[in-house]
Amino acid sequence: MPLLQLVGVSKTYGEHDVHALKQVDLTVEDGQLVALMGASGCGKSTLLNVIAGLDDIQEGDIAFDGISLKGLSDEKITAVRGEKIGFIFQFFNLLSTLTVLENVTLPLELLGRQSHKQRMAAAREMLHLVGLEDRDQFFPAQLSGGQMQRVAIARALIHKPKLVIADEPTGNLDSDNGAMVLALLSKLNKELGQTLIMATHSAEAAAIADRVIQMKDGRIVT
Amino acid sequence: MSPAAFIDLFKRFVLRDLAHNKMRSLLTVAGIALGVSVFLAISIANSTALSRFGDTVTKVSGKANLEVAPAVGTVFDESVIRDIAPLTSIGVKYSPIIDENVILLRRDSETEMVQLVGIDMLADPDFKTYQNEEADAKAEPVGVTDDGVAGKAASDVSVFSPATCLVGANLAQRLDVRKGSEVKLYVDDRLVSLTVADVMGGGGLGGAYSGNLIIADIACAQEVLQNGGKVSRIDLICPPDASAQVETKLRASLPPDLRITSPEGRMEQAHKMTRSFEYNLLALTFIALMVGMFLIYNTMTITVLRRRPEIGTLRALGVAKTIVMRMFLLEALLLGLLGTTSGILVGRLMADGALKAVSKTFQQFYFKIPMESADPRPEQYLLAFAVGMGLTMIAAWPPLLEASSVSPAEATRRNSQESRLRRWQWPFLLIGAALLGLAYVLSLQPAISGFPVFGYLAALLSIIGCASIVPFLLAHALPVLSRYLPTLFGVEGRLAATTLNGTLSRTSVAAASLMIGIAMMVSLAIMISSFRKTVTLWIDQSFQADLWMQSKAKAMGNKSGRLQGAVIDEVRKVPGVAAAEGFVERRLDIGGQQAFLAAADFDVLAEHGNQLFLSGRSNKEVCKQLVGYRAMISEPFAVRKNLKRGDSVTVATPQGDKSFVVEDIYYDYASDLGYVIIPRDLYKKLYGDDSVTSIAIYLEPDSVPRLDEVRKAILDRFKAGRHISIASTLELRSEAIRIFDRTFAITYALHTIAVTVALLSVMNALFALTLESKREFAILRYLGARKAQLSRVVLLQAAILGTVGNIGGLGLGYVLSLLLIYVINKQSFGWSVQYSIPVDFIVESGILVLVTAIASGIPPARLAARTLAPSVVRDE
Repeated sequence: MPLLQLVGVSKTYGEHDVHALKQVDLTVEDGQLVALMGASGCGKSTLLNVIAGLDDIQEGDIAFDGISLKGLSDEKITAVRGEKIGFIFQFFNLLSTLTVLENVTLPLELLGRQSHKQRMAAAREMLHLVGLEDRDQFFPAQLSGGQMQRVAIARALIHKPKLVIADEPTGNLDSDNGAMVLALLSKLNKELGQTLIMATHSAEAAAIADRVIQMKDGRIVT
Repeated sequence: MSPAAFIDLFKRFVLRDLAHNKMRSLLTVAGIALGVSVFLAISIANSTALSRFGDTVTKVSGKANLEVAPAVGTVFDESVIRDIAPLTSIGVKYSPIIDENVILLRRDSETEMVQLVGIDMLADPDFKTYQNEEADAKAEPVGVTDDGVAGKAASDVSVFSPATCLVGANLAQRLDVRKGSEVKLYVDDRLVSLTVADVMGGGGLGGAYSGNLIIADIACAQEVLQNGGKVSRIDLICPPDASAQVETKLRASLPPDLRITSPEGRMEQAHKMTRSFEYNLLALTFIALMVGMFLIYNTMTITVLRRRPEIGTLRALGVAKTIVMRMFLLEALLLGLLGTTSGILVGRLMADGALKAVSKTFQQFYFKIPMESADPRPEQYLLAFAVGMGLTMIAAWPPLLEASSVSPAEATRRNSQESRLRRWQWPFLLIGAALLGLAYVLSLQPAISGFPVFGYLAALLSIIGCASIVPFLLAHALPVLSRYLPTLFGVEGRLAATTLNGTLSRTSVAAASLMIGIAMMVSLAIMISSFRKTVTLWIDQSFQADLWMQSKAKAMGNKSGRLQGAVIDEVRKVPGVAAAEGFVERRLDIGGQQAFLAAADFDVLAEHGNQLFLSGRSNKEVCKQLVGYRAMISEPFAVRKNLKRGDSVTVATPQGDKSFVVEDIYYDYASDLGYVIIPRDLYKKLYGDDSVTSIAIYLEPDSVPRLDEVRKAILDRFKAGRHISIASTLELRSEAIRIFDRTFAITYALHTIAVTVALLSVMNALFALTLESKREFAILRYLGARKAQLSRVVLLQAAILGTVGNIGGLGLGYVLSLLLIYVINKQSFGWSVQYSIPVDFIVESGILVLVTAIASGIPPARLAARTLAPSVVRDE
């Protein structure tokens, strides 16, 4: 059974019915690293949002890990997202008032899972994996862009999600830091076996993917 | 930039933002409106009280420009007319007048105080104008006829008939009194009937006392009051150029216990008398204004902080600093204008209620003038407008400077403001500490002309000082909270504390607003509770008599209602009575200030009383010394006149000024005007007055349980034709507490308003914080946070602010209560108040404020829960 299956998904925005997604069909297998490419405004981010249940859809169905998201209450979709999906953003989106360690433990805390001690241990392990164990008491503002994205990766993975969604993860980094982040994502995908769907403009990012999907005008073209 | 371009930019950049943040804009306008409305309502109420007094003085005095009045008491012997009559040769006209309170018995058996004005119907038309009701309706003043008779009313022979009177239109209308009706009056311990000869119109004398008066020929009035040959005043019309000459002649020829003054002088004296009360009431309205100022400061600061990146962008696009400043200035003016205008409208509507609330206090303690409807003056609206706009501008100034100082580069750094505030927390702490130190020094300074200027300044500096310390306290407390709150509230606890810590500038303003509101509430509650406890203790300890006897007129509120001295001997004869002590009090003009001269039977008081003295000496010890020209004075009098034990106080008597040595100073809370109490036997000799205003009755120990029986026996003894009232100490105590609570009712209303405005401020800050935290909330939604969790974060923020506000408010409230009790109250009224903290009230209010603060977080919490994650990220 595929981890994710979209059938005939369409999404329109606003009063003027802007068609962001048009009859999208997509199947992603467990453990795949998928790169989603296309010009700005082609619907990559919208597709990621509907996969995560953050945006509702007008047509079609989305099945994630055997559960149909269609018709699920916000509460249930939030629970699925919290448990099974991790996010990595272009602008890192760390909480500026929390330390690195606190940012990383946040998903576990929101889930109310594990004891404080276990959460700390898990966060330290993740920080070790991304090479930032010595920065655990720093605040985001005290880190470089590459370091912030590595913290974001640690946060996205700490609760061992089945799916990691990355929206332009290297879009806000220089080439060295971008390469380092991509190497890390590839390594973690291989080592932890988590599925990764990554929206990107970068050919380097696409190069590490098992599969590249091209989008245009809200449709998957290849 | 052209004016048109500026207006376009203002519309797009400022007005759209105001419209977008409707709730916060409305809260801010409401905060200013509330402050301005309370200020206007109270100032209208205060000025109405005084203008009613002034209006009445003018109408009763008419064209008189000088008046002769007693320095002690309310009446004097009319024989002095002999000294005045020769002055007619230089063009002086004179008219004796009686102007006394009497108690009217209404048909519904209720009583009310009205004024009895006795005039010389033949001489008086030169002084005043008169209208009867019919003439009034036709707008034709009846005025004075050539034959010297006052209009139709006076020309009606019945007005000169025995036991007849005219009544004011208002009184007639309210009580359905007409020509031929009978009015019944309690005078001292008698009930007197008068027949109504006519109803006066509202113009001229008939409009004095708001038309609630009874006018009679002077002989009839003297008969009613049973003070034949006595008058309250003699009004004089002097040719303007002869005024000084007349005054000099009168001073030389009149008895020494008479004062020569002018109607204006009487108004000035009334103003002096009520000044402390008025100023203190007005000062309380500044509470509401100050919290309103904080709201403006809060809103503008948060707007500027939130829009820093946009301001930076405008600056980068070439918009000058001055344009940025002008835009925000216009925004502040707009908010101020809306708030002030609506505040003025609401204030006018509130003024009648405020007048009702303060008029009883004015009437109880200062002068009896009816005050039914508020009488606003145009300049009061202008003043309220100036105060509203002025304070708005003062409050908006720091954020305006902040807005104009944003540089394009700085604006892109999200946390530059926060880091700056963090750097400033130490200087702020030091400034706060310095201000508190200065407040302490100021609190030690004496009053200026009886007004505690330095006390109020010290209170203001304490408020600013404590508010300056808030950022420091929060910067240190919030990290601690973020460590411990997760234990109780999970991750939401940490997020609430860290987010507040991350937005310290906004958090500090909101917490300080609430702290000030709560501090006002706490300090006023402590002051009122302390005062109440002090008064109760004072009554319990000082009022040792078992029964208190007075005339019906006095019991119904006429302070000059008397009993004959012989009544004391009658009372002593009643079985069960151990002793009876006579007490008499009269108004005293001392150095142009009003006070009371009283006389007591100190020999009885020494044996049975328990007066408490500042010196700590026993009642017996002091009272034994009170013989001859020795007096005890009340604490407020001592404070006002700066007198101490051993000093002397000079009082006017018919036999010339007499000096009394101050034997001791006693605690007294009956009047802030002050008392001088001298031995009654000496008083009788000096003033030829044997009457008393009250009699303290001490029962035999075995008769105390039969108090009601003894009371009945005394009442039975005076049944025939005498209207007296006997109250037990318990009843007296309840009455005193009832008056006390009524006096402070408006204070309670004011501090409720202060806390309401403070809570608006918290809601305002939470809205801003929630809007500011939209991005963080969106991230949390991405990470799997449920809507309820986001709501909980906001509610916890509200709870933290509520708690910090409560704790800070308690601290500042304590400081303010010390200033109120030991400096402001002491210097204004001269009362020593025993400090007492109403723990129950403070705990209950604290919980209520906390719950309300959390409730004020509900709308922002809903906003947080509605955060749409993708839309926020799309905004990025």
